[in-house]
Amino acid sequence: MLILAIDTSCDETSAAVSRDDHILSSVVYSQIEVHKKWGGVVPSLARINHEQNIDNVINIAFNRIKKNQKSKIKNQKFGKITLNDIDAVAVTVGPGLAIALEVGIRKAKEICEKFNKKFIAVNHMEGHLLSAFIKAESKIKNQKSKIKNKEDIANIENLNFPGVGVLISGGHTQIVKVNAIGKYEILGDTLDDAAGEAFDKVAKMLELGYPGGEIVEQLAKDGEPIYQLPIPMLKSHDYNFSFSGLKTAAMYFLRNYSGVKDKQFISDFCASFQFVLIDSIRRKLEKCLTDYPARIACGKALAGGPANFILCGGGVMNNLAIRKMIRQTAKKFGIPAYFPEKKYNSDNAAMIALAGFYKAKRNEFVRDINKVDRLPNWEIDDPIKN
Amino acid sequence: MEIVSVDISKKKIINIAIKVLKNGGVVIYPTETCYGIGVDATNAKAVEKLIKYKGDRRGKPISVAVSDITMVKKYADLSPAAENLFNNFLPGPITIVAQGKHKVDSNLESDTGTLGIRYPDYGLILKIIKKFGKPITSTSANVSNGKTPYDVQADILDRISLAKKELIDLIIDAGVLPHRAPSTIVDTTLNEPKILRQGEFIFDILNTKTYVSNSVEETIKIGELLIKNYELRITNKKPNCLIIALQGDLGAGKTQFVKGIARGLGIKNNIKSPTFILCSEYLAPSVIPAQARTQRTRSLDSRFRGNDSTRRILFHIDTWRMESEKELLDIGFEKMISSGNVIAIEWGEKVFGILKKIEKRKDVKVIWVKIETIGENKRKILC
Repeated sequence: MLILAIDTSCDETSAAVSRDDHILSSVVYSQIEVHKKWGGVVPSLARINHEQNIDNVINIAFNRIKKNQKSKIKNQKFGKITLNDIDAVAVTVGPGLAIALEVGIRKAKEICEKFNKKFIAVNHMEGHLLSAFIKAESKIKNQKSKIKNKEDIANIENLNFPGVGVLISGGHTQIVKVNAIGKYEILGDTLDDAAGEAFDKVAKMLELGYPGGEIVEQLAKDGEPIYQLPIPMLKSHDYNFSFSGLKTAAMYFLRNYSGVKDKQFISDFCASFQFVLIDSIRRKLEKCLTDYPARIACGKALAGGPANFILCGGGVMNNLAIRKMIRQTAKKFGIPAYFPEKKYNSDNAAMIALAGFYKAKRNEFVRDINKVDRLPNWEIDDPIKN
Repeated sequence: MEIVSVDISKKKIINIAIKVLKNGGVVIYPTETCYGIGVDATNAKAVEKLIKYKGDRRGKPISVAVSDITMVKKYADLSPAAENLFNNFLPGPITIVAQGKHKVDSNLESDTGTLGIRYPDYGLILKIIKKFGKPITSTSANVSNGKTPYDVQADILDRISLAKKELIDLIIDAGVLPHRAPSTIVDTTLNEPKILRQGEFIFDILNTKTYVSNSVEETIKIGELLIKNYELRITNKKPNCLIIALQGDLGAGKTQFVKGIARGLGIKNNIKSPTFILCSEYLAPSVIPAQARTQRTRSLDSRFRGNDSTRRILFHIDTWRMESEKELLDIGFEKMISSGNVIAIEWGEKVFGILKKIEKRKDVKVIWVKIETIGENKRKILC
């Protein structure tokens, strides 16, 4: 099955083409054109102007398949793939920024009507959740020949359900129970700020610029977590997160700190902040894994046996300290942790193609595309039938 | 005439200024609006010199600047309304007209004995007045009917005669000031306070209250209270679109306040920070408050697709990541404005220009909320 996937959930305009569960091409607007045109700086207008970018991004997605075919998959016997050849369009309908989602949905509807294709409505967070399983067609051979670490090669077919998903990005921080592909329950969520946002805001407080999450991580490497900040939600008995209190505490600490704010101080402060943030995620994750299969939390019974794996996704998974924490936690519980390739951590359409493929396998196509509307608050565990 | 830059030692400036004021001299000084001109408000000769500088006043009174509320009470009687304004908004760009006690030069008070009082939000000037121990005059440093002065050279010195220049003893130069309109003038001597001149001050000063929050939960409650009080006043079938513009530093509790607004609107969803997504939307039960309390929120997204004509949406916008005002329009702001909708905007000051224009529409009501951090958990909330 050939799928064209589109994601315009927030800042990024992206498109991907996939054959079954293999990605043939994946294009993210900010990573192509803009870098050439404006020398790396994404102007604010381009950031949300999906309308202007979408056709271009889809075209590039198709054009890139050709390149892949010629250079890497010589034995495949098909010509240039066009819109006509695809079987379905998978598009993010939520969660996200309403006006941005609309652009992708409109484009998907247009293509489906014009070329008589099937429509798959995908949840952006399910995309992130499955992003560890994105396999680029060109890379499969390589992967098979030199498997370094079994954990790195995740295979969706061999998953032993249930497991938990950890989704951390600029806009989300969630722990999700994965009962099967397509069957999820949110166990924990942030009550206010997302983890990625907390990183960016602390960066701003330290005048490191925006987005500064990555700079905080870099500086933290040269520092020691010697400053005491409160661990958020220490006493809460659920699996939820809250980072706004940590943000305020960090601000107050900086305001009251009378010493010299030199590079060492900033590095140590970044290390302290990162330590506390990651530690709070670790505590909740461990709590989830420990509570399996018993107890009731968040009003939901954690039925169905112990967690057998951890699935990770979202832009903040670029943070090596978070990856390390999750790996260590997984090890402690004797289960594997699966991470996406670096380029699939942040928003992309490849993950939408993959989630779309599994929906198609379950025959979850949209019956009446006229009824499809953006769902800006669509939670991953809300089984909305479009 | 001496000109000193604000960049030199504050102590030095204060000493020079006080010396000038004590000798009945004239000082031009910066404020949070424009440059003001000050003399000892109790010294008749100094006031005479000031009036000579200002030119024909046609008997118009001249306001005085004070350093704190205790000083005010020595020179004027404050009505409860006036005292409220002091506590809620000052120091800031507001001139309060109160009943004078005739302890300043008679040329400064009006024919009916009222006195205009400024409590400027400018630390250096407050220190000078405090140390001086008496009010100084607070009128703009232009000659009568001249251009509002934001720049010492271009707006003042280049525009006055040599004779007038000689009347000036000291200029405290803070460079070009941000072009903020002169203060809002409120007459508090009447039964109902009345705005005599609207400045740039964004709060609806006659209807704004101050709250003190000691916790996140209290901040949420204040947000809930704001919306519930507003709901109670809705009488027409087609209520205005309510825009709540929030100001406050990182970590002040703006998102928490919006949690309260959502709660007050009967929304059950957890309100998360929209910093990343720029705008979140939540469906609220219908407009009429009585219904809002009884009707259960149905699944938000299924409602979105229905043809519910009474549907009411809370939009929660965060402009923190926005680089220009225009991005507010890019995310569809104008389409959100519809009867009964509520639009909460964090960092509202970043889109001040757009909100000022929108505010003029008859179907829109803008409420400004300012959350000031006064302790780790303590907040002062104006709304």
